[in-house]
Amino acid sequence: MSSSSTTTTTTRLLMLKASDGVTFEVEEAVATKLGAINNMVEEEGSEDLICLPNVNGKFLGMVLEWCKKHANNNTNSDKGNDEVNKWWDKEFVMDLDQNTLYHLLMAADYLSGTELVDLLTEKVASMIRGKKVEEIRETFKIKSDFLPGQEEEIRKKNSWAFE
Amino acid sequence: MRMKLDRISDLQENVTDEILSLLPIQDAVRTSLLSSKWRYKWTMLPDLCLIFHLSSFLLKENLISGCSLLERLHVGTPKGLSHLNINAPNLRSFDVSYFYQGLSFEKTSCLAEVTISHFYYRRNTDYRNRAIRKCSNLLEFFVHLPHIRKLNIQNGFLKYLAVGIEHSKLLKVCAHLDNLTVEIHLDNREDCLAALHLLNGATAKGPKTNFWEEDCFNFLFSKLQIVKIVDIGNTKLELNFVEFLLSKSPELEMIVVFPARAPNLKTELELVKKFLRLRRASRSSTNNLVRFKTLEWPTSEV
Repeated sequence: MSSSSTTTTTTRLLMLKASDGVTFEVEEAVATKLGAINNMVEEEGSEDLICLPNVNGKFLGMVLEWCKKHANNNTNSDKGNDEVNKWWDKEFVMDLDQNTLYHLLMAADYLSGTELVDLLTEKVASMIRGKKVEEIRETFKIKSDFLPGQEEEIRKKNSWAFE
Repeated sequence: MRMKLDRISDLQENVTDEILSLLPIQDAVRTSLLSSKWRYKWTMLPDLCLIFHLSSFLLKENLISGCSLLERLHVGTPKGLSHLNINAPNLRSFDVSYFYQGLSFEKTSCLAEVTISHFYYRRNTDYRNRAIRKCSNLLEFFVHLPHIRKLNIQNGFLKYLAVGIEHSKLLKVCAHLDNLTVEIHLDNREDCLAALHLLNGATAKGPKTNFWEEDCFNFLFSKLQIVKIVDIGNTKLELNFVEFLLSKSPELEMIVVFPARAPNLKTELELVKKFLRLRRASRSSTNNLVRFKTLEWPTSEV
């Protein structure tokens, strides 16, 4: 199939297959919000079925949901779109549990969804910003594995950061 | 299903880097205490932006040491920060907006661009020590900057560099320094001397010896081509300075002059006339005229 510039009228549909076999049918314009998919599609003679062995169906679904919203909102050239996107992004990340946040980040990074990675890393950063070490450990269930005394040593080295 | 797993520690390195780069520096440094996996993560950031909010803390440690990948460092308004020792072998660009007192470089051999906008220097015992050692702050400053290409120092930093300058050896030629912006108070002898040392380091061809045995203004800026002077007035000091530049710079092609604030046309013309009368270094070959460009004060900077 040769590339044509008439994509506005005929929308190519892609099949994305997740690691657990779940498939998604999405418009090219939506899926290509993801850099990795965009690259594959741009290759000459690319197939419409794309297998993604590193992403589970549940999270691929969420990533695509995000892409769809952003692709739709971008086609209307309203000025309020940025606001809509922001509002929608806020909703999207608001109640994510740790597990989902982690898998979404892994998926977005793997699929080179730069904007989505930005959104999710900002979410994580907001959970760290201004918090005490103990609070961050608690939030992310991080276990300290330092030897006795080692922690004190690190604290001392950059004591200004721990005040 | 167990949800109490530590997930964040297993994120890809590039993702963790991005998260850390979104944090204020204190928060990023604080993550070093989370667990051994996090111990050195923040030190791998290639781009650090230090914006200090706290006014109470003092930084005594080498904050920047160990950031082996750091390439650009911007320090915002480090209130209460009295000393900053930068030890980052990959650092290429450093700028600081407001700074008090001690700033030192160590193992910064890649550093090519340095901007220091505001610097508040108070003389202290440091001054005498340097004088005894016959080594100016200027010399010390350049020891760890062998690849400096662009230097911009404003508002006070020259005063700091000038400490010990009277008895100091001359700065060795900085082979790469080809873009120098410096704020000089022409009515201050040490300022002027330090500026001369700088200019000499930046524009002389080879090392000069016998600085004090010869006339102390025995410089030749044989590489100096373009000079831009901002906020120049009509005083004798200022004219002398321009005359001095003209007489010592055989390769000078252009002096661009931004007159001091709100000059009227008449004073501006006078200034141009005076400039035109100044002698310049004789150059056997081509034109003996320096092109002056008198420009209006850029309104946006007022």
